[in-house]
Amino acid sequence: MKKKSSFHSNNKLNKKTLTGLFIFLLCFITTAQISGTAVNELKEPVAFATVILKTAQDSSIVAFTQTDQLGFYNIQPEETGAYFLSISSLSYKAAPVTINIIDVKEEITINVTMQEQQLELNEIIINADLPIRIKKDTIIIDAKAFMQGNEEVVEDLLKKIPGLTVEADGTIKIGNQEVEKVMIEGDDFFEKGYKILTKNMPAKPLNKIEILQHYSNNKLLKGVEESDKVALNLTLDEDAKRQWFGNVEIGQDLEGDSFYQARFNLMSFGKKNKFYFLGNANSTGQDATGDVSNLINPFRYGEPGRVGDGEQVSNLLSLEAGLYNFKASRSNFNNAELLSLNAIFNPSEKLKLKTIGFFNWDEKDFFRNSTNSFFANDTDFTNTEDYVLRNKYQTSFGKLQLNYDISKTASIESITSYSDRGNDAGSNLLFNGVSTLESLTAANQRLDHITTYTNRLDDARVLLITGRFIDEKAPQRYDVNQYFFQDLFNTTPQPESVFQDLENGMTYAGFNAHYLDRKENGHLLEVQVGNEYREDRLENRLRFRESGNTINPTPGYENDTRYSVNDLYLKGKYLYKWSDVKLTGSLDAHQLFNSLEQSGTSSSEQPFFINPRLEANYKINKKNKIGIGGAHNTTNAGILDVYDQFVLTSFRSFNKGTGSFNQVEASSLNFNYQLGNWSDQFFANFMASYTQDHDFFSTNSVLRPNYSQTSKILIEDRESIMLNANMDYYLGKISSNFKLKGGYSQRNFKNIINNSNLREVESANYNLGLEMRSAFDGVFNYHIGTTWTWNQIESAGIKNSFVDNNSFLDVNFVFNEQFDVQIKSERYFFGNINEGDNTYYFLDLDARYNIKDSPFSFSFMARNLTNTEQFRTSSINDVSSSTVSYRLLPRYLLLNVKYRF
Amino acid sequence: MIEVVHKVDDLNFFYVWFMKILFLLIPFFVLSQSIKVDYTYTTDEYVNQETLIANQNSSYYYNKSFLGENKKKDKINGNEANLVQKNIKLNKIEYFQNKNNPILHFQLKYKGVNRLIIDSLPEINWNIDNKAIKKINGYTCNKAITKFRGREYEAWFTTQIPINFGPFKFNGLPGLIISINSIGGNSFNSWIATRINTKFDEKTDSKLCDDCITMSMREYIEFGQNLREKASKASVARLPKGYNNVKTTYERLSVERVFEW
Repeated sequence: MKKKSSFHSNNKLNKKTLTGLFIFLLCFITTAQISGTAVNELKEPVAFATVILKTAQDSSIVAFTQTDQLGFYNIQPEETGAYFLSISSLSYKAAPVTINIIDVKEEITINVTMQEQQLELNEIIINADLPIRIKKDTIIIDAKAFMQGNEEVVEDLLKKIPGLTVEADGTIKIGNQEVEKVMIEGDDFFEKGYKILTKNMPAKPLNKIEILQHYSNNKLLKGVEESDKVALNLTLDEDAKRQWFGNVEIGQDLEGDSFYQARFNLMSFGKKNKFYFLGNANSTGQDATGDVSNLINPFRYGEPGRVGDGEQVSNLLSLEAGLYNFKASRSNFNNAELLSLNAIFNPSEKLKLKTIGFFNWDEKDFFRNSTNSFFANDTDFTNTEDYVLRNKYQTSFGKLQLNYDISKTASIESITSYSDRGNDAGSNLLFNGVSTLESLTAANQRLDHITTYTNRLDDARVLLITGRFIDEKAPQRYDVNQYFFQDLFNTTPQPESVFQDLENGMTYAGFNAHYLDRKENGHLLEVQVGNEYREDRLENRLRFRESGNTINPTPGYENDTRYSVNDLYLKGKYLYKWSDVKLTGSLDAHQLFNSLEQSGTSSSEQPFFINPRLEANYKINKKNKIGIGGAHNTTNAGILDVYDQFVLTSFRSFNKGTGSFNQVEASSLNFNYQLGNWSDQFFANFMASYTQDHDFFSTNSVLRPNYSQTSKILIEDRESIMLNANMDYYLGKISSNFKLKGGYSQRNFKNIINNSNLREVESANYNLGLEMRSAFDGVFNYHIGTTWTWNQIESAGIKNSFVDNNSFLDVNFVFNEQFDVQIKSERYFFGNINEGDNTYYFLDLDARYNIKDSPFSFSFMARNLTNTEQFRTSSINDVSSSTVSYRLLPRYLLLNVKYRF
Repeated sequence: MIEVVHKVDDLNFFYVWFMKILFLLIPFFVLSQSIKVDYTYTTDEYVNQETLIANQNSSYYYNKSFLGENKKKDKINGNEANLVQKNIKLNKIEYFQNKNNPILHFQLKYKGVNRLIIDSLPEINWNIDNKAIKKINGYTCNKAITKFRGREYEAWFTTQIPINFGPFKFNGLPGLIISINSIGGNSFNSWIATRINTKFDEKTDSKLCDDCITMSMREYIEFGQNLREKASKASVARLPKGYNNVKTTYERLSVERVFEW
């Protein structure tokens, strides 16, 4: 059945032709040969006509060839028998010739005269069955077709699906984009944390894998909402048995018993019901709720149909402390435990119930020494604090989500959650040598309900109606066993201690109708009408204790504030798309009804304002992209801006708001420019923004060694400028990228310190960084970099400036898929620390080892190998400079074993 | 060793020009009847229309230039970067085959330059499965299987349209290829004829360009591969701190993934 391409011989005499000739010669001996010439009625040769030899018995094609330029053909059947020989072309046709070959060595000559007959064809349309179908934005893959039997978990199977990539750490990508989530039968617990699922769930019960492109969390928004997300949905066999699977991980301190971590995941997925349990405990500074943060608060910011997302009680007082701009886990002496129980039920095709609950216990210790030097307005003093803090938290959280599909085009989602958090904090403080104990008992109860009705009006239009109700209470009791306010209140006899009861609560009710219309040309029109109401209640009672008696302070320290804001709004937004230009314009009109009751008076106002915004993105060409935007915003004052009496906010400070209604206005402009693309040899990015606050909240402070009092005041005009630039250059010769980054920011504002006039404060900050990173093919890779930061602050003729530097070197060894090692080192230098240590080094190491085809895997974690026990940072602002040293978790070596079942 | 390479290059250079001149001399579609077949080409990433115009001894095949919608976008989000091709943009590629010449030529604009690629195709050996027969719009189609440049294909062809060409670079079956798709492998490719016509007024005066940069198929493939490797390494080396180096392994998702050399 080998095709003899006769036209080959017309060309160069090459090896192929010679071989062909040899085979051709052999053919004379071994097989039968039918040859001849095809001519038309004018005896002209018919060139390149198709010659087919079929069996007479069942028309099977046994050999085929083409005539050459001279109309000659030659064909060899391998077996004897009866055949049809047919010769045809687009222009000529000949009746099939019947041939009977009796001897395999036979040579038959058949010359054919062909009749002219033009082939005329009509349109044909074909629907063929293909193993992979592409359905709009869903690609459905038959999981069984790719199963070879050696897949243990879902991830193993996904690795075999064309177009899907599973990276060594379990990240799943379609093309180059990471998937948003991996669902089972449309249900999901994990969102971006899907690796828990794909690394543990057995592959066997899988039936189909669906790749959902342009994925929308609300399926009725698909195709209307701007979405570039992709997600996976795994469907299960009809008869798949539900089984429990999961993993356990335990980490043990190799040097002592102070550090541990443990975690388990247990789950079971049936077609109808799904369960997921997890537990986590650690003393390595990790926030255990990180594991469930996706469950508690799935990331839905900016999605249509959301309202009231940022509404919560604003805290005035807390005893939480942390290390900023630094790995928080290094100074977090904790002991956290978490247990979470979750389930999804699908009682019918239309109804879905999801329940989520967790309990979290955490104990955090924190150690800090600080020196604060104040230099503002004739008041020079230095305070020192030696601070030990212990926080205990207990959190319970429950959430019930109900999804009901009313019809194919309408659905309802209702989510109710309740959380209860208790916090007991106690500190042991040495303030300027005075031993002080603080204690804070705080609670937070929050009820949150949101119902969204979605109606897909047609292919391009969707209407969402959302209602939300939130009620939150956060009472606090704060006790300090010292009295630092003698200079302020001048009470005789002098009290011994202070306490404050604080009631802070808010109620929110919001309603929103959101209409989206995706135009045929890709333009998007959005209109929203809504009314949102929020009421804040803030009450505090400050009391002093003296020989067993409770004493009231002078008036001015007791809020009883009720602040309500009703915002009736109409918002319009239009996205305009040309091929290279994207233009978004929006106008939000707000009619507010504010009312404020405090200090025995009540007032109200009805301000109206419009917030416009315009953004334009232009792709000049392949290499140049430019974006520009401008906005004018009016923001209504919040509860922390309006309360009129002082609240105790730490053992030595008081704060209060302005006591009146306010709206602050700001205008902003931003610009960005991109040269080249991320993967080009040269890639650069420039960003600039400018904000002008026409009015803003600043402070009027009285600073004394033992206390401070800060009131908000409304000031006009504040400016800030920010510039940022990045440049990347890839050097192919050393397979490394060289990065240069720089930034500049400048801010000015005005405030009042110790009854001064309005003082101008100007701060500026420059930074410059260099980095190099390799992309070697081998085992080893490095990433090295350094950044200098210049800080400068100037106010009332006093100028302070210093330079910090921070460098790192990371090296990576990936020996194979089973074994890799990462070493990270950091160096911090603080230019503002003149005495003592101002340079710190850290070294951490991680190693992972997975045994191939085994349920066990191991990892080794070494933290703080340099055993740096203290870390000092320094900062500076317009009134003080401070140096703070933190106690750090000592060196520890943790060996983790993970078992999958 | 180096000398040999030079010789090959010189030879190649002359050979390329020789073949080009030879090819230019052969006129396309002289008087004889030709046929136009529209194919729908489907890959994992996009769907596009492609067209075959052929007569008994030569074929001209091209795809529509294509600009896919911005399905995916770059996401640079703190220390997470997700990089994807912004658009799927395909320039028109024109393929020329002639029975008088075993060399396939194709021309396209690549990296801003018009290029003519000389591709000495390996012979495509088809295995006809005589047991599999299906009717597609009245045409009896036979099934044939082949391996071509690293992929396995299943083709359905009809002897009722007796030309030897098909979509893309496929040729050599005793009838027009009505549908062909890859089996398994790391990406999916399929061509399905949607419209077959012998009466069409499309002008077929396309010919090999004479001012294009001419390269052999091997030079062309290696050129693209070097560019991609460099871009991918640049991307990896640009990742911010805290993001582990991802080891890049190359996998050709394109139609042709393994070559003869």
